[in-house]
Amino acid sequence: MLSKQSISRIRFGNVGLALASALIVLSLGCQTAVVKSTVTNKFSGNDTNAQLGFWHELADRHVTSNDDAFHGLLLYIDGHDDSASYNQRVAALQSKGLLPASFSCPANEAVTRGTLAVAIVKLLDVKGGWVMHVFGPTQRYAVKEMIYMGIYPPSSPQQTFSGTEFVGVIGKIDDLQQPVSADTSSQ
Amino acid sequence: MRSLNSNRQIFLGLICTMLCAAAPAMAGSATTMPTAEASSQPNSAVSMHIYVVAVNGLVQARDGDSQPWAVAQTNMVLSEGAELRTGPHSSVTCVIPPDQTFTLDRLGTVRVADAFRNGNMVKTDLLMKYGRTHYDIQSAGLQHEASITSPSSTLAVRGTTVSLFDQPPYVPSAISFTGRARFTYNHNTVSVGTKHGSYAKALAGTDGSAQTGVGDTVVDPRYAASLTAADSALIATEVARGAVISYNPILGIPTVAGGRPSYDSELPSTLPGTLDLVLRWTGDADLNLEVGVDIGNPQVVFLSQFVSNEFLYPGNGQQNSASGGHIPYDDIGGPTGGEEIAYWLGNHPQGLYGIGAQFISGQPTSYTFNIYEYGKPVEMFYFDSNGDFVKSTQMTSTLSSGQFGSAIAAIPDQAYFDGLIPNDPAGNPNPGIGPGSFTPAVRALAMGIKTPSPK
Repeated sequence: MLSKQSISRIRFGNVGLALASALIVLSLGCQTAVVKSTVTNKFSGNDTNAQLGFWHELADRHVTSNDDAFHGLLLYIDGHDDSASYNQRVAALQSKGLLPASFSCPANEAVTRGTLAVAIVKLLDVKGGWVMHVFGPTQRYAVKEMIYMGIYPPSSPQQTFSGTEFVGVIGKIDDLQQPVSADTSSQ
Repeated sequence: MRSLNSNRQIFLGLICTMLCAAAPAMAGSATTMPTAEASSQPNSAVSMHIYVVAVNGLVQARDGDSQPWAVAQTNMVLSEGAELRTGPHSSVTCVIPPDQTFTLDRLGTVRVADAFRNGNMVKTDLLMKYGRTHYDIQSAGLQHEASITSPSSTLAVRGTTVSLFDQPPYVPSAISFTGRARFTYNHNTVSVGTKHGSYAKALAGTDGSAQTGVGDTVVDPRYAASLTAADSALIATEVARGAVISYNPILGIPTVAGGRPSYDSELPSTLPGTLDLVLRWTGDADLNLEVGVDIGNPQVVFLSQFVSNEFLYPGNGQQNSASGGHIPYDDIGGPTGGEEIAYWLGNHPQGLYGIGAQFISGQPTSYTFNIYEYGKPVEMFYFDSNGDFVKSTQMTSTLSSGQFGSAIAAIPDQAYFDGLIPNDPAGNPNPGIGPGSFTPAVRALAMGIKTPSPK
């Protein structure tokens, strides 16, 4: 039989354990992933070799950084990225209305699915449901819309993409925007 | 005699050997595709060439890992071990004579790992790192052993037209357009398609195309057979007024564009339900109808503030409610306005109903709310332009970008509320919609009359 004291100790002990775990998670586990060197630095040009080098090198990376994601978006939208730096890239996307004016994440930080979802929603001119109509394309509902459209797998806005996943998402957007060739139209 | 024949055979053999030796060099510089690529000598494997026949967008190719990437061009000749990669909006089509064609779609990479012929047997293996590859084998008298292999799946092909898609974060899938292929994923192999069959698709992890087909099944609401009688009648009315019916696969609801709203005189006869909530507008705008229901005794729920138990919206799966409420289509408007309706057939819950109009796009417009229960107009309560809480059986107001119009109504109609709340000074009912609601030019458009353009 357990005494009241021991029960109380177990309960508070559990609480203490949970608190300690939370502190460890907060101090260690919740940091945003960063990449040491971006693919954009390696393939920053607009020629065929640089562009294809970028896409297929990115597909081998474990994490997609903000810089790589934005360079990829600009390449996809315009066919070229004339920005000389990450800040210019952010400004270019802000001028297109794809990034919020308050965006200030560093270049080597992993891109979040929420940030990308808002850009895609605006790029594809997705109307969305009544919540998006009322509150605009917030990250939470833009991600939900991406999941609903089959562009994202079930995700949360804070998750990031691996390189190959990012390339896959861009390919999926391509399918939606481009007239798909007859042989693959059924997909 | 025998020696003469044997000498002739040796001579012919020498000629054949010389021709075979010269063939690769000739193929290397060829810009036209040969009809038969490899030697027909039995039991000797001969590597086959790959001809690039169509390039679209950014495409690069190389003959092996050690070679540099080069921009792919039409009529380029590659050899076994060649690798191709594509960018966005791009694709490349290659032919392996005499009867194989493959197309690598956007943002993919593929290597021709094996492409050789051994007598009448042709073996081809495409290694697709990621992307989508379409593969067509005509099986022209040759025995094929062909496959597309991706990191997580393999599609084995014998004389058919297939497509393999494998790209994280999506589930790999195989499609057979004609014939049968074998799709292997996670140590499990299923058949895709049938001999002489038509389109079949299998998602990785399913039991095959049958299970995938069931999962993908949707009933296209454009077809009359998939619509209820009430929806068919409503949509037929819209079409009769010049509207165009389509289907929005993202919102998952039929859409109506063009046409005009019902006039006040026409509205009661077109209502399908025992309870109908109608939004009509006259301007060149897209409005959406929203309906919220606070189920319960109207007088009780009125005092406890409005809590939406059910919500109806045109699309996103919210066009049906648990109690049977239904919005049959999303009217996206046109030059002469539009009309959306929510209705219940048979029993409908008692409670407080909220009706709302959401401005989606277009020009500022006049709009009108109507609620009918068992064909009789119901009093709606709302704030008028002076900010007074008033009632009317027909509410008309204006809406522009970013605005939301709303009213509430008790179902069944509560005489207590009706006696308590004053009539709208603008009239009960408010002026509604008739032929005079449109400007002459718009009215002519609504009637299908072309007006001469001003000189």
